[in-house]
Amino acid sequence: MKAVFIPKENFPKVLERWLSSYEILGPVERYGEIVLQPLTKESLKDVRLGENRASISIKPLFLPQTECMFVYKSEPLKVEIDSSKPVPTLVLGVRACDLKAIELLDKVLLEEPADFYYLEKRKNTFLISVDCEEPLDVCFCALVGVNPYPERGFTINLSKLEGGYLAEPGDEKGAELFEQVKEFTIEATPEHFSPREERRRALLEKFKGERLKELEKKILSRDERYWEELSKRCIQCGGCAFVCPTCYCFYVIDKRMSPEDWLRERGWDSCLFEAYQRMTSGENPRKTLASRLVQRFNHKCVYFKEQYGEYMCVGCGRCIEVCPGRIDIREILEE
Amino acid sequence: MSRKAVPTVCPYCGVGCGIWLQVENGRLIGVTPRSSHEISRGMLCVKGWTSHEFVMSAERLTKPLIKRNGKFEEISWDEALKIVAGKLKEYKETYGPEAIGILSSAKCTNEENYLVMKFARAVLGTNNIDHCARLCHASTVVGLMKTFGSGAATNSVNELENSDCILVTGSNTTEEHPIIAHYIIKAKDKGAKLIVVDPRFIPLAQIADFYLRQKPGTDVAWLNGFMNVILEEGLEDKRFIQERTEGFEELERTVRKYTPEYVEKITGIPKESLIAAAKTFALAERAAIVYAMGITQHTTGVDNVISIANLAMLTGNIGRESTGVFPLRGQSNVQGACDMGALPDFYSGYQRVEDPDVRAKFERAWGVNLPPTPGLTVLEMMDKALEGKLKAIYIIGENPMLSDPDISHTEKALKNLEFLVVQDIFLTETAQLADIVLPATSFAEKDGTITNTDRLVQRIRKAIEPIGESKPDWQILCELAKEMGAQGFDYTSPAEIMEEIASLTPIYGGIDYERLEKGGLRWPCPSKEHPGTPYLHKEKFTRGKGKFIGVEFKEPAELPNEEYPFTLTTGRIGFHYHTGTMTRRTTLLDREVPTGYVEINPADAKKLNIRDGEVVVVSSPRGEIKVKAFVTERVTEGVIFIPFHFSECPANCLTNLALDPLAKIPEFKACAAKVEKVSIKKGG
Repeated sequence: MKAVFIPKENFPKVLERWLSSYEILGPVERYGEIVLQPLTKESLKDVRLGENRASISIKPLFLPQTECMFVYKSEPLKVEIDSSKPVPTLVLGVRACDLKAIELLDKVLLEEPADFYYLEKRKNTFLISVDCEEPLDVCFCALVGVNPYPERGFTINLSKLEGGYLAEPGDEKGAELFEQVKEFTIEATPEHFSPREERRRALLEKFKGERLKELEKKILSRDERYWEELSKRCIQCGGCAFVCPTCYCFYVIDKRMSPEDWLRERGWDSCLFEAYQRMTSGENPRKTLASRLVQRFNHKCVYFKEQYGEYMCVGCGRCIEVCPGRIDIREILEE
Repeated sequence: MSRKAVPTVCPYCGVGCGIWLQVENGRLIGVTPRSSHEISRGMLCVKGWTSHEFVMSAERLTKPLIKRNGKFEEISWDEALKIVAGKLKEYKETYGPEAIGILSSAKCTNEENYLVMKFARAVLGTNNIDHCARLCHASTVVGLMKTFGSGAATNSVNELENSDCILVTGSNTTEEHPIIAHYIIKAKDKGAKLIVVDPRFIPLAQIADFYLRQKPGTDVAWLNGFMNVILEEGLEDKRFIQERTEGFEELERTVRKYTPEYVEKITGIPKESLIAAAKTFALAERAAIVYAMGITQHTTGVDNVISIANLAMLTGNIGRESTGVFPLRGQSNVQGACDMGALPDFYSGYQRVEDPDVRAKFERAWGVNLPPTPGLTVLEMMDKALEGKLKAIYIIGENPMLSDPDISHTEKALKNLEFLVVQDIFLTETAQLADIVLPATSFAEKDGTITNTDRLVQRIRKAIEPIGESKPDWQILCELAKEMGAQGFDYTSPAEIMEEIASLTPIYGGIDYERLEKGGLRWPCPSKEHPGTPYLHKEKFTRGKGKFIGVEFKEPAELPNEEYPFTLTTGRIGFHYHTGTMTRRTTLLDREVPTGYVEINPADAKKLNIRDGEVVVVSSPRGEIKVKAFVTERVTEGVIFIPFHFSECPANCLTNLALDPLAKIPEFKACAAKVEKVSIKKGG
């Protein structure tokens, strides 16, 4: 599989070609912010790859906030699962932090037995990532060991260069997509790669601060008082978990839709909610908010590491942006 | 698959946070925050994050209903509108327009509220129109009108982050207006002093520099105490008082006797804390006051609000950035419903119905004669219904069967009506009493504007098609008006209604949909060129000079006594909203707090031998409820607190119907009550 160079003027043509066989979601500006929207022929020109990452990750594409799992009739029991396959979709403009997050989500949700709903969407969604150009104030991916440019996990990665994009395929699908747009691309040469490495080095320089290491030690060394103080800021909105590209907890509920029909639905949940860990008896081992904050950070830095060998934070900084209590995860992970 | 994201505004409290509704194949599947939104800046509370779910509930009303032999049956829109129009016409002709009342909704858009008031006045011919602001901020409207000349928040929410001192009283901001709490937390991080005065140890008290716990219903006393200290120390803003205000001498005379010692006796606030907090407030360069229903829902609600205005003027904290008075509005469009004149005494823009020039203007515009005297308020309507003088009520998006004080009174009143129409999205406790139920759409199924707690007028946008046969309230009103033969209800869109609003309402004069595409506008916005008004009373007060009014402390209408030894105060919690029609149909929220409870201090619980989690009986002279005990130091001895959201243990079975004499707001925040073990109750 070979990398190609897409001259700037050809880029819309490339997208247009792909649009004929795929749905494409891409970052566009609407009401002053970057949001992922389905692209049409007309809106291709509005794609904004050079901006900062979107404020919402791509997690909801695979794990929607609320999702119908199946519908059923109770007497006699008859279950119906929507078996229509998701439309093959290209997602344009994915950042390295989100790719890393999907890699972590895959570990949990594709572990046998795989999560059926997640798997179906994963199989039919292809990620076209892009190198970041500028970190946001809250970005700290590089400080937790995630480079701000994609290195794996993509179908295609785009690196902006003078006059166009260096496009690298990451899997068979990427090569197939290149094949479709052959006439708009040229073969990439070392002259394309060396300025990219230059840009990447310069980008890394922009991340200030100490590399955050041995997170489990830091979290475990925090005493009760620390969490108690932190809990005074938490307003229990759940936003940090909802917006976190690696948080995957969900509740499951059966809803009665008519006297005979039921719907089983799942939706985003958060370990910061009191009822999340409340037992049926009413007992709750994590009754205090402080103890739930301990749980949240232990899961990210200790338990997940024990289970999967990595930390469950990609440094995207979104939890900092959404927190009304101004809790900054960087401060918690620092000395 | 079709996907889209639609930018709109959260339907819950009055902060007006920006959300994207995530739509997939015509269904709502989620909510994400709008990061560029001028107030919420990418943040939401848990209600906002989950605000899509109730819209898709299977319990949504999808067809008009008629009650026949005590049971609801589905009927067509044509039939339903014919019946409602026919009945309203009949009552108007037989008993006169005064026999009909309308309750509008703080959940409906500005355009809809404007149409409701136009319908009441121009079609029915009555000023009997009111809405739930009566129960939350009527005292604010009266109190701030008298002192400042304008009943709304003086400054913009964002400015709070640069205040040097913030006084929060009668507002559990963290739970009820979480994104405003964010600005308070941010100000604190930037070095501001935080003073919390509340009978309950609310979350903000944890981070406050001063936490003063007053006895419920003693607010005028401690506010006068603050002013007494400030004058005693010579910390008042003499220049501001002289140049910008009047009535100072009267205030000075009144507050003289409210010495810290005297105030301590009334309120229970230690005099040292009062002095220190008052000085801190007065010494701040920019100080702001944030309050909500803990101040307004008293028989002295207007007095409380006036006292707050007095304190702000005394220290010169009006008319500058990051100062001011913030009455926090509880519903997404309660400000707008007031602005639009869903009130018995005002047309839109606070233009008085008694004013002949104003009336003439509306008569010309609408081509009808209009009633010249103010109509009935919410609770007066209930009284008249009970007397049999009010024959029909048309309730839009309100649930008085859970939100009014002394519910059994409300129930008797509504049952005594000859005809009750309820228009809502769910079959609420109130709708169950109706003769006809009309299915309306939620915020997600219509276009319009709403106005938040700091006067920001914003667009809400339709994300999905109406559920079932439900219709937007504005369409229902237009169809009903036409069915009654009225002219002037041929609007094709909310934008067209806004044009009429702007033409008749000076404070909204410059507002149109095109401008709102670029972001919200804060009224007053009198012309197309006007940029809107971030803070009021800049050079001069709306009424010219700010007016000090000295007010004396008065006890709540009902005090604890031997039989009912506790003071019961009621309120809200972060996971639920108003009468629970939406939050109790939201999985996470209903799971988090599945039912009501009574907060009781550990010492009181011990005396009564009550364990945490035990179901107890709470009663007042008006009724009793069974509710779970929550033993907590959040409340002090002698005080209990019950959230009012829950129909299975409705706090408002207990609350007192006593009203503020001017604002007619009931005293939800203080009444006498007792707590008993269930077993004793059974035995006795």
